[in-house]
Order: sequence, then C-alpha cells, then structure tokens
Amino acid sequence: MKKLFYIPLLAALLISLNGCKKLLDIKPVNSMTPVTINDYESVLLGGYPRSDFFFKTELMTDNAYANLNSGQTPDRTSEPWFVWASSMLLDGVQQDPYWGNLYKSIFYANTVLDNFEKRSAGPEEKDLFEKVKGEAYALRAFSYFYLVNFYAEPYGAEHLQAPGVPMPLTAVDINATTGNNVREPLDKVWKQILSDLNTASSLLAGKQSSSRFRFNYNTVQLLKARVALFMGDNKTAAEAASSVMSASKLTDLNSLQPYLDDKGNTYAFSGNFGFIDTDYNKEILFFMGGKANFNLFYYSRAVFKPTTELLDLTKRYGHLTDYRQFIFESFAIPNTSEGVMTGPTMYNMYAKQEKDSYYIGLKASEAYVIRAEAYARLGKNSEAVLDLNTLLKSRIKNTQFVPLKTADFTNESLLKRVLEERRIETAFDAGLRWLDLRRLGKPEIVHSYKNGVLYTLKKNDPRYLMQIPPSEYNNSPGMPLNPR
Amino acid sequence: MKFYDLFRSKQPAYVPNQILRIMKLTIFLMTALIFQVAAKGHAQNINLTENNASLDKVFKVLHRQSGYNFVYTAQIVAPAKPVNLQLKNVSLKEALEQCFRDQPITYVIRQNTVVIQKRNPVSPEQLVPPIEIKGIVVDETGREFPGVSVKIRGTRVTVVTDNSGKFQITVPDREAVLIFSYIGYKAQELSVQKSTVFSVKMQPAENALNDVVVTGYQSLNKKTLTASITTIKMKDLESIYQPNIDKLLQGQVPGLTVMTSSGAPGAVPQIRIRGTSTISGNVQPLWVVDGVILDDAVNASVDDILTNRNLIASGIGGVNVDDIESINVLKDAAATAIYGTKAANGVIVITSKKGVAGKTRINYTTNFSVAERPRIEDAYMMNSKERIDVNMEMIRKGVLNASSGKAGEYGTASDFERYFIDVNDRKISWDQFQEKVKGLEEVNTDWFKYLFRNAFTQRHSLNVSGGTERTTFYASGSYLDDQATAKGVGQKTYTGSLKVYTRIKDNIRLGLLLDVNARDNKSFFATDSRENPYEWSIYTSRAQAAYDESGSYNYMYYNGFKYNFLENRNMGWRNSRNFGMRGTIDLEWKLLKDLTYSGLFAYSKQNTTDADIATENSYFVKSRQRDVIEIVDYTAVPLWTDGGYRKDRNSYNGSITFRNQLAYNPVFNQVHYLNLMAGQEIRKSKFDEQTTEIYGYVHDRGHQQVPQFKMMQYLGTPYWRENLNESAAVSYFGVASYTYDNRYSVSLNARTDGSNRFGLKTNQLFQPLWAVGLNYQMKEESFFKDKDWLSYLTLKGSYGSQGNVAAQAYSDLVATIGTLDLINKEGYLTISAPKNPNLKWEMNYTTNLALEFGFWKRRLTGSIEYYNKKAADLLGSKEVSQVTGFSTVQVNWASMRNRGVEFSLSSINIDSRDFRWSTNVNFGYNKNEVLEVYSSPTVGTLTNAQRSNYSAAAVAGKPINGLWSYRYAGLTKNGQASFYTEKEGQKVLQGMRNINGLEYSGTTMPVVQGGFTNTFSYKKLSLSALLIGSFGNVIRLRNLSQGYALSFPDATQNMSKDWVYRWRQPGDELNTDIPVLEKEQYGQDVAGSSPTNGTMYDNSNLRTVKGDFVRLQNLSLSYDLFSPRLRSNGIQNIRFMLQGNNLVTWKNSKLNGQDPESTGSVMRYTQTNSANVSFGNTFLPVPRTYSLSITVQF
Repeated sequence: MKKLFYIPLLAALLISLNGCKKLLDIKPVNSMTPVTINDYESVLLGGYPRSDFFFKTELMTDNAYANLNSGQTPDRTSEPWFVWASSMLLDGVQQDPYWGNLYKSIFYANTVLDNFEKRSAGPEEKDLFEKVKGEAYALRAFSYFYLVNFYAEPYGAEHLQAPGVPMPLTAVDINATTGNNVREPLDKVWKQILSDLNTASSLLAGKQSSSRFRFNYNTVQLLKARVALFMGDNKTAAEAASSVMSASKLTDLNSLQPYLDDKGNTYAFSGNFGFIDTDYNKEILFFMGGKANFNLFYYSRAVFKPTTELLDLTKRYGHLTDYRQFIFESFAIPNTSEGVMTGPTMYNMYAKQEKDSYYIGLKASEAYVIRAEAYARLGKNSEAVLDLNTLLKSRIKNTQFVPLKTADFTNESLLKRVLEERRIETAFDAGLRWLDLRRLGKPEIVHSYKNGVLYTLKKNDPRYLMQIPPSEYNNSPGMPLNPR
Repeated sequence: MKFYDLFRSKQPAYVPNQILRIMKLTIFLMTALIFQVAAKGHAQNINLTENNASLDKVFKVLHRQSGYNFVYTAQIVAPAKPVNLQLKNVSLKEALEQCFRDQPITYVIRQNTVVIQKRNPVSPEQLVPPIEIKGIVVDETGREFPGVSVKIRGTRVTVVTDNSGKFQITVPDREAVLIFSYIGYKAQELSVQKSTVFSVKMQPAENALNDVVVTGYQSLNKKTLTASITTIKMKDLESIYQPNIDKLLQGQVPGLTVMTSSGAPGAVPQIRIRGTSTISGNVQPLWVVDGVILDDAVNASVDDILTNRNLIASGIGGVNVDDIESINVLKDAAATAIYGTKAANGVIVITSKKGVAGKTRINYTTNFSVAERPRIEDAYMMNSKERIDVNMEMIRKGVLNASSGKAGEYGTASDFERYFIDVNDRKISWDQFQEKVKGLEEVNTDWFKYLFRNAFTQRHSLNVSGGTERTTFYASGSYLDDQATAKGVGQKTYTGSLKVYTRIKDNIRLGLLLDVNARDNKSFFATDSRENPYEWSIYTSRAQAAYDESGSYNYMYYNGFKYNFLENRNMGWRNSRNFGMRGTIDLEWKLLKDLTYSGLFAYSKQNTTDADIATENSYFVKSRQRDVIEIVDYTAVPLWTDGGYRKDRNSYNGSITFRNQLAYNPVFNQVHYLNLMAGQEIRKSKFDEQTTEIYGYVHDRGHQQVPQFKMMQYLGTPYWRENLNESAAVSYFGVASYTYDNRYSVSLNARTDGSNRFGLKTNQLFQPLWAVGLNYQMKEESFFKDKDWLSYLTLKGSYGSQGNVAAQAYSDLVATIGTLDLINKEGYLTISAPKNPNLKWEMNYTTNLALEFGFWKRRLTGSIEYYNKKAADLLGSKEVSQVTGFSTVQVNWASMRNRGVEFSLSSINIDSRDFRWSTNVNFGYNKNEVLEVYSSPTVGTLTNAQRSNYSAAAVAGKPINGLWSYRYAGLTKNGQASFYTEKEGQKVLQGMRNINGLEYSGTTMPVVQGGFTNTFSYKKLSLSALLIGSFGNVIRLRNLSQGYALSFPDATQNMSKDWVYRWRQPGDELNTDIPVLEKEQYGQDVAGSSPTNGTMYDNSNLRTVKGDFVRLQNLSLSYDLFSPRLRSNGIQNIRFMLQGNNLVTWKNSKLNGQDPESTGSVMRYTQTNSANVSFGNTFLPVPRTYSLSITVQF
C-alpha cells in the first residue's frame, strides 16, 4: 500500500503544472500589441501616408497634357484619369488605392485616439501624449479633407446637405465599417475637419517639431488656412496664414544663380539633382505620399508632361527670369527628333537618380498665396499685392524684378493674378490644382489624346467628383453614387 | 519423498483471504525472475556467504554465478527456512545440497535448469522427474525462427529460441502447456502430453484484432478501438525499397493522397489525409515519432517546391526507414482529438523498433540503385529541323528579330540568329548561311545527355538489438548517398539511433531514446528558368550544339552575354546542411495493478544552413553587374564591380515536450473493462532563421567579401534578416472508454489547448475539442460465435470535432515593425491585424462509420469506411469596404465538406506448403465541396491551375481545387484561337472577363487514389508487384505561350512539338487546333486586354486533360538464402532483392511527355536588374529506378 503514497504526489505535480500560464507569455519578435505611448506614436507614424494618394489627379487638370510624339505608351492605369473616365479604376479592379490609403490613415489615427481616450499620461509623458494625440487629430482632418474634396461636391452653401463621405471616428470594432457605410452630409464632414484641426492646434501649440514627415503646430496652421480658404472663410484663412508666414520664411531663389552658372541651364536639373535639392527645400514644411522621384512626369520621354501654358506663366518677365521656369523647362531643342520626343516641358522638381524625396505636402509659399488670395477676396488689395511682391521677389531674378503696384489692378484682375501665382507656385504639389479647379467654378478642360481625339470635361461636369469605388458599393449597396 | 505438482497453483485455496494471496503471489511471481540460460561450460565455482538469507535471494546469486536457471514459484519456496551459508569454491551441486538441507523442498537439475520441488517424505516413489523438452520453431515460410519466446503456462518461465530456431526447456510434468509467441504472430499453445520433441510453425497474425494500435499517447487494443486508424507494418512493405517514408506510403493507406512534387532527392510530397479542409490554414498532416511531434527543419511550405528550398526541409526525411516498426495513420476525430488543434489534417504516427530480449541480433542491409536519366524523346519537344523551320518562317514573315548594335555583337541569339546577323553584317555570304543552317538542322542536341546522368544511389544500414528481460537495446546507423539524375545534384543522409529500455524496479520502466541525423544536400544555383537544368533541357533549342568541333564550349548569346549552360553550371551551386538531434526520456510507472503513470520528456533540435553561391563569372552575377547601374552625368557607372553573390540562410529549430499521463485500466467481473487516461502536456518550440546576402563574395580568394556598398545602397534593402517564431502551448487531455464483454465499446476523447499565439483570445480561452466513438464486435454475439467462416466482424462509428488554427487570425490589435524607409527613417508600426472580436476558431466536425471483417480464418480481411468531414467557420480574408482601413479583413467566412469512402481488402489466395499468393487492394474516394463562401472570384483566379490564393477561387458547390477553363471556340480563318464568352454565340480573341463564360473542368486533386499489391512466394523466392492509381482529376498541359500572344519563340528557346501542327495557311483551321504564330507578342488584337489570347489558350478546355493514371510503382523479386552451414557460421539469412520502381505509367495520351503528377509548367524569365532571386518551376521528373538490395541477418 506504500505505493498509494505516490498518487497524491503525482496529483500535486499535475496541479502545480497548472501554473504554466506564464509559458504562454512569449512575445513574437516581428509583431507586437502596442501598449505604451511610444508604441502608439509608432502606430501613428505608420498611419502617415507612405504611398501616393493624390498625384494622379494632376492628370485631370489643365497642368497636364499628353505628348503623343514621345514614342512611349502610358501606363494603362493613368489613362482613365487623363480622359476623365467615369471611374478611375480599371475594369475588374475593386479597390481604390486613394480611397483606401486615406481611410487607412484615418484608421490609424482613430486607433491612437481610441487608446488615448482611455489613458492618461503622467507628468513626464504628458508632452509626448499631447503631441501624438494632436498629430492624430491633424492626420484625421488632413485625410478627411482629401476624401471630401475628391469624392464629394466642393464646399458651398448649396451643397451643405449633399452626400459627403463615410466618417468613422473610432476603430474599436473593425466589423462596424466592413459594410453598409453611410455618406455623412458634406457640412458634417467639414465641421469635423475644422474641429479636429482646432483640437490638434491646441494640443500641438508649443511642442517641439520632430521631423518634416510629421505634423506640427505650424503645419496645422497652414492646413487650417487651406481649409478656411476652401470654405470661403477668408478672415480665418488670412489669420492662420499669417501665423505660418511669421514662422516660415521664403528662400530667395537668386541664391541658385552660382549653381546655375556652374552647371549651365540645360543640365542643372537632371540626373541626380532636382529643383527640390536646392535651398528651395527649406520651404517645404511637410513631406508625404512616398517616393516622388519616379512620378508620372519625371521621365524625359514620359507621355504626360506639364502644359506649356503653365511653363509660359513662368516667362512673364522673359526667358529665364523666373527661377521656377527651371522646374518645368525641358531645354529640348525643337524640331529635332529628340526634341519632339521630349517636348518643351519636363517636371524637374525631383532628381531622376538618387537624392530620394517624398512628395511635397505643404510648403511655406502656400501660406503666402493663401493670404494674398484671402486679402484679395476681402478687398484688401494693397495687402494682397504686398504679399505677391514678397513672393515674387524671392522667385524672380533680382535684375529683372519690378514690384507690382496696387494701382495697376482692379479687384478682378488682382484675384486673377493671385490665382495665377498660386497655380505656378503649387503646381504638382499635394494635388492642389485639381482641388482649386473644383472650388474655382469647375471650368471646362479639354485634353487631346490618342489619334487626336479631344476629351472634354465640361464646365460643372459631374466628373469633377471622383466615383465611389466598387469595394465600397459592393459592401454598402445603399450608398448613393456620384451622378455621371 | 513426495513431490507435489508445483505448477498447479490453481488448486483451491485454503487461505481465507484468497484475494490477498493471489496478490501476493502475483507480486512474487513478478519478482521471481526468469533467468536466462547462459552458455554451457560456465564455471561452476560458487562463492557465497549468507546469513539468514531467503532461498529466493540465494537462488539469484547462484543463478548469477552458475548461469543455471532456477524454476520455482513463490508458493513452493514459501515454507522454506532461511539459510546460513559459507561457501568457497564449491560446485553448484554442493551449494544446492547445503541450501536444501533440512528443507521441506528439494531440487532436480535438468540440463541448465534447477527445478525446485516439494519434498514428499511419505512416498518418494511418486516422484515425477521433470521433463526436458526440445524443439524447433519455424516461420510461415519454413524458415527457422529465432527469438520466439516459449513460456510455460501459468508461470513466468520463458526461454527464447536460438539462432537456428531451436529451444530447450524443462517442464515439471506432462500437464505443462507451452505458449509460443512472437510480436506480429499468432500465439500457439501446445500441451507437453503429446511429445517431448516439438516442431512448431508460427503463423503471422494477419490483421489480428489483438493488434495494438499506437496513437502516440496510448497503445490501444484494436478490438476496442472506436477510431479510424490504418496501421502499416513495415514488415509488410519489405518488398519495397524506398528510402523516403512519405513516398513509401503511396498506395498503401486508403484516404491518404500522396502527390509527388519532384524527383529531386529529399523533395517533400504533398500529403493530404481525407482531402483539404481549410482555405488559409495548414493543410499538411502532423508527423509524430514515438509520441513526439516532429517539426520540419525549416519553415518551408509545399509551394516552396518551386524554390528548391524544401529539399531538406522535411522533418521526416531524417528518419531512417529501417528503424520503423509500424506507421499508424490517424484519420477521424476520435483518433485525432487527443492532438487538439494541430491535428485537423490527420496525424501520422511512427513507432520505431525497440530491442527484444534474447540473443543479440545484427541486421545489415545495403541497396544499390540506378535511376534512369530523362530523355528528350519523352519530352515532346521539337527537333532541330522543326525548330529551324520556325526560324525560316520568321524570316519569311520578316519578324526574325536578330540584329546587332554593331557588327559582331549579339543580343539573345542561338547559332542560327548569329549566322543570320553575320549575313546581314556581310561577314558571311547567303550561300554560306544556307550551308550552316543545313548543318544546324542535323544537330539535335540532347541537353539531357549533358546535364543528366543515370544516377547511382547507395544505402547502407546496420542495426543491432538485443538485451535481457530487464534491459533491452536497439542501436542503428545508416548512410544514404542519394544522387539525382541531374548532374551534381544529390543528398547524403546519415542517421543514428539508440534506444534503451530498462526496468529500474519491477514496476518502473525507463526508456531512453536518442536519434541523430545529418543531411548534406547539393543542388544547382537557380535564379530563373535559365539556370534549372530540367527547364533548360526541355526548353532550349536543339539546333544548338553544346560543344564545338574542337570540343570546347559552344556559346549562345543571352542578353548580350556569351553563354553556355554547361560552363555556367559550374559557376554556381547550392549547398545545404542539416543536423538534427532528438532525445526522449520515457517513464512508465505501474503505481498499482491497474494504475499507470507515464511521463515523457523530449528535446529536439535541428540546425540547417544553406548557401546559394554564384561566382563572379556566372551569368547571374555578370548580368546583374551590367544591369544595375547608376547614371551620373549621362554616363552609366556600374555599382557592382567585384566578386560574386552568396546568400546564406541559417535556421535553428528546437522544441521541448513534457508530458504527464495517468492511466487506469481496471477489469471488473471479467466483463467490464474500463480505460481511463488523463494527461497534461507542455510544448514549447522556437524557430529562428537568419538570412544574409553578400554582394562581392569571392569564393576563390578564400571565401572573402569585397563589399559592394554602392550596390547595397542602391538596392536599399537590408542584407540581413531574421525570422523568429516562438510558440508555447499548455494542453490537457483525457480519454475514457468502456468495454462490455469484449463486445461493446464506447469512448470519449477530449483535449483543450492554450497557446501563446496572438488572437482568437487564446491567451484566455482554452478551446475544447472532443470526440465520441463506438465499437461493436459482432463476432462475440451468440449468433456468430460458432460460425467458423467468420473470424471477426466489427462495426465502428465516431463523431467529433477537430480544430485548426490559422496562423494569421488575430482578434486583438497586432502591429508589425514597418519596413525600413530610407527617406523617412523614423521607425513605425504597421497594423497587420485590426481588433476583430468576432473571430472564431476553424472547426471540423467529422462523422466516421466503418465495417471491418475477416473471413475463413482471416484468409480474407477488409474494411469499408465512410466519413463526412464538415469544416465550418473557415478563416479567410474577405474583401470589405476600404473604409475599414483595410482592403481585406479576416473573417470566418466559408464552410466546406469532405465526404468519402475508403476500402481495403487483403486476401491469401493460395497458401500451400511451398506456394503462397496474397493480394492487397485499397482505395480511397474523396469528394470535396465548398458549402458556402463569400468571395468574388475572377476569371484569372478560377483558371489558374497553380493556385496559391484559395480564398479568391472558392465557389460554393464546387471542390476547393476546382479548375475552370476558357471555352475554346476553334481557330478563326486567320488561324487565331477564339473563345466563347458568356453571351450565346459570341466569340472573342481576348478579354473575356465574365466568369459565366468559363467552363468547369474538374478538380486538380485526385478523387480516387488506390494501390493494388500482389505477392507470390515459392519456397525461398518471392515476387511482389505494386500498382498505384489515381483518378478523377484534371491537368493543364504545358503552356504554349508566355502570357500575351501565342507568338514566335525567343531565339534560344525550343517549342513544343504541338507547334509542328500549327496553322500555316487558310483552311488549316479545319484540321488543327494549334494556332498561327503571331507576329507580335504584344499585338493589340490578341494581347491588348486581359486575359490575353495566349493566357486564354493555355487555360482553355482544349489544354485541359484528364489526369488519371496507373503506375507500376514497384516490382520486386527477392530470394532468401539460408542453410545450416551458413547458420553454423553465424549468418541466419541473406536476402537478395531486385526491384524496379516507377516502371510503367499508363496515362492520358494527350499528356505527351508530361508527368501526370506534375501540373503544367510555365517558362519564366526574370528581369535581371532586380537582384531578387526567384526560381524556376519545372519539376525534376520522378525517375525510373532499378535497385538491388542485400540484407544479412546475424
């Protein structure tokens, strides 16, 4: 019977092994569940757009034309944009990368905000906590700004109740948004953008800015100015822009002259040196959307090129008087086969080799043109002209620069001039041209394409709104589509 | 003196407490050891000093010193007094005299045995002298049978037959009964009354119901087994030499599908037990060796066949086939529930050989085999003349795209294009050109001849086993040098194994098992199809000589490089090495009569390194050196200037298993048999793999690196990566079964696992899995009991659940570290799985019904089994609204059903004295059907035969491996292939994107697979033939296009012989289905929109054929050589075996040179300016082999 003694012993052994739960606590290396504020900061950084979500809209604008003599065929995915197809997605494609990318950013921002809702930060972490939280609000506002501008009517009294875009403000349960989403009214979306920006700016005020790939107080002010301008709130736009202008000065492009003299005009911006690699770089406040070096227009034989109309705007004071001409000038010799294939224009903002750069998201000069436009619209013409002169002085060769005079402009011609400066200054940046065309009355645009066929985007064309993607209407069958 | 019969201990008891007495007796019997007869002539000098010692103790010492066997029971020696002895150098007889002085018992010496008897002083004349029995035991073939145990019934006295099958035993009287037994053979009981000389013939237990079935956790009696388990005894597969276990199983187990993936040594075949029952989870069965789960050496999936990677990956590849005793394939829920969430795809349990008590036995086996090299004649490709004819057509049509930048430069060119360029460059005249072309028409290079060989493989295996009743051992070692038919490709495998079982105490058995194995694999460096010898041999123009007249390499031009495959073949290679070790401690402790504790601790570790090396002159390196450039001021600057390329992978894989089990198996009133088992298990495993890529590796200069920093910077990817995966699981399991009267059994299995894996709330939740089963032995019923024709009839059934974890399913938020961004360097996290609280585990619910039968003394046995396996809540990624932030989200979104019937029958058709003929047939039928699924398949996913994303191609009502095809509508009058669309009567050349325009062709997995074995033996000669068959699947023929249009080939490329019959002129469309060769590869009319004409043609019903085949997998002839003379020299038996593998295949004639087990191949080219390594995907065919084996038993 001695052996019976072992049974409790064994039983004890078995029971003690119950405490093996600790064994299950192994953490994998490549993946983790975010816990700390630092972890959530990393999550938020993952939410900043790292791939293009706007650049193809340039194809729909009057800044782009097709050089049919380039000898190249364009990427098939670009074609629908250039001819304003009813949907920008190829047949059979369900996912819209732009729609998806923007909602991805929103999901990340919401994930951070959900978590921060439940947590409070100790005194040492308070700064970081508020900074991350503020950036999350800014990122969400930024994403909704693009979504509502791409897929809904532009802001205006007549469209306040028009369908906007679905607007999740939390990421607690993924299943909540997998289908049957609703397009919130336009007004509600814009209000949310404003409110998020205000929260962001109060949280970010006084915080150290850590990199130009992240939002900070200054860039949130610029965003605020942009949003206010789009909403017609010129006073706020001017105020916010002023705040940016006091923090971010323009680069005098005359400083490029020695470099240009050294390299020669033709070869100054090719190979591994882009316009952005000059001192101009200092004006850029926010980079986004992934690597821009191999964008649609970069290649000398690319089919799609900047229009000569845009290039000509830089020749107002004569050939090579405005340094911005270097961004768009190809220096190709006309009437040679080489020159025909390259065409008169190029997009030299980014280096074609090495010197990698993200796309430009926000830059200082936008604040100058915003304030100029806001002043012009408010009737403060002299202030507007003053802002234009500040800008032009840093863009035009010193020897050629003649300041503008308020007296030379009527209200209308001043606004026109401001908008022309805005067009050059923000061309191919952040998708602004397409957004401007929408808010400035949806003008008619004509594109000439293969076999000389003319495609026309009529004034007020419904195609000024991009179509809701199949991935959405497949899963949200009740959602109203944009008319065609 | 009067002697009582010692062995009639069954006499009525006079002790009041009978049970106590029996218990004591039992315990004593256990301790009363059976001493083995030692060699004769053992010194009899006894030295002994004992005070007040029991006789039992003294006998043990005497046994040890004298070698004599002592036969007695506890009852006999009980009345004996303790003894005081002082013996010095006396004989055994003297010693015994002293022991038995004044004792109530006495002894008799017979041969080497001392029999203890009761002394009867009253009537000494009644003394019955013990009887000496002699005899010989032979097996069913008449061969002497060593190692058979011969036991006196009612005692523990046992002897074992010697090498010539002979035995001697001393029994107390004529009432004694001898029991002859051997594992795998029917036990025989013979009474001594008849004679004192025995000649016994042992009969193998054919599918005996007394068989023990090993589940890895338990050994169960087949008679009470409720689960569906197929047992394979390696003894039955003696006639097949096949060093790989997985391939050995082909055609042996109904319901087990084996699809050979490649003829390369070590390649892992696809194994499915009862079909596929998951979409995104693991589909391979679990391998278990001696109770321990076997991990694969590296994380390679079946799809890695394409990468050459899996050759060394399989864990099972390191197990020596000769060490295996039996294989049990666990199929239904009742069998696998105990393995929990890992076992949804079935379990294959391997039981290795253990030592057997008795004389030490040595077994040596050697095999030599020759595998035939593939031949170009079998590949159904064009010969030189036909290929040149295509070139001439290209010239006529003005599309021979051979030009040179400047004279003497060539792009991609075979000799033909080179001559053509030379004509254009006026280097040779047109007449000279025609002369040379005429010569090329006769070249007919067989690339196989240069790149392949008749491969010679040898294997040596040695095992030694033996031991005493207390301790047994088994030691083995093997060496396999397995050469592939491709030159320079091969694998060497070394294994070693040691198993020791010992009884520490009479109720404690300890087992120590140690296995080591090492594998060295040599293969080719392959980055694209151009470097895979098999693809090269098939797809390279035969109008190109390998060597020129002077015997040096004859170059072709490839992307501007002078290129000769044979030369390049020596400039790159791939070496892999694997070392694995597995140690197990196994403890069995009988706590009480019916209560047993068993514990197991196992540790295993595997280390694998592989190196892919391309030296600096190899095509891979040269082409990348040229293509990866930077343009600085309009001049190209190369970034990779020096050295070659090397990619190292180092993987480590280790696991620890710790298990505790308690089993309670009481029997009440002889009829109630209970089997309870409960246990707990901890398993921890770690996998770590590090990959390093080295640019600038110089092999010839001492394996050093000339770092190519600019190149690395340009690539912008890390040159070191790690993949680390640790997992741990804590599990509890239990089994309860009850058998009444050997007739009715019920069982209940349950298991619950907790694991560290993210998601599915596993940290909190233990998912219980369970199964119930029934077994009804109808033979035991009164109405069958006396029916001699019926040996057994069993009805079984089970129902239960199996779980499956899909690794990528998480319910909590999981983030991964984002790939490094060289512009924005700040570290970030990517959310790989959002919070998804709705996710559930994948579940399988399996019903199993089986009828097993045996007739006419088991001359005919068999079973029929039916199963219905429903897999529910299958995880997959569903396309959702992008507002979620994702394009797909993991959901439980599909359910699937596998239904099938399995049948097996074996019969002994003739069993005469000299001649024996037995037949074994088995087959499994499996029907897979997707029941519900939420997906939107496209024409692309549905028509892709080499499918990887199942979730995009599942259609409700069809099998998961269902394949759809474009509907071929004939050639147009221009010779272009046209296809029907969903609209009645409409035909198109390209762009048919509506899935309603497709036709369902069938499934790519065989529906029926089976094996058919016949074995004939005549005296010492036996002949065995195994046919395997596979039916009901469809196969795509090899592609004729490279995607786009069906157009002219690349300069160096050979074409399918199909193209000989191509459309050439109007009217041909009436006679042929092979289209015209298009002028333009990317022509807008055929390749302007997707799917293109070429894709549609290759994936049309015209190119889809039935995959049924029957293969004479194995034919073997063996001869046993043994004679008394050999035996006297210590050699028991020599077995010679000649065999052929994969001898004949009967297959669909449309398959022309394509193996029915490999799906179509695509020839792919890789752009050389991405340094990524991707591999070709044509499989090395399984060769025809002939082998000779010799086995010697000592």
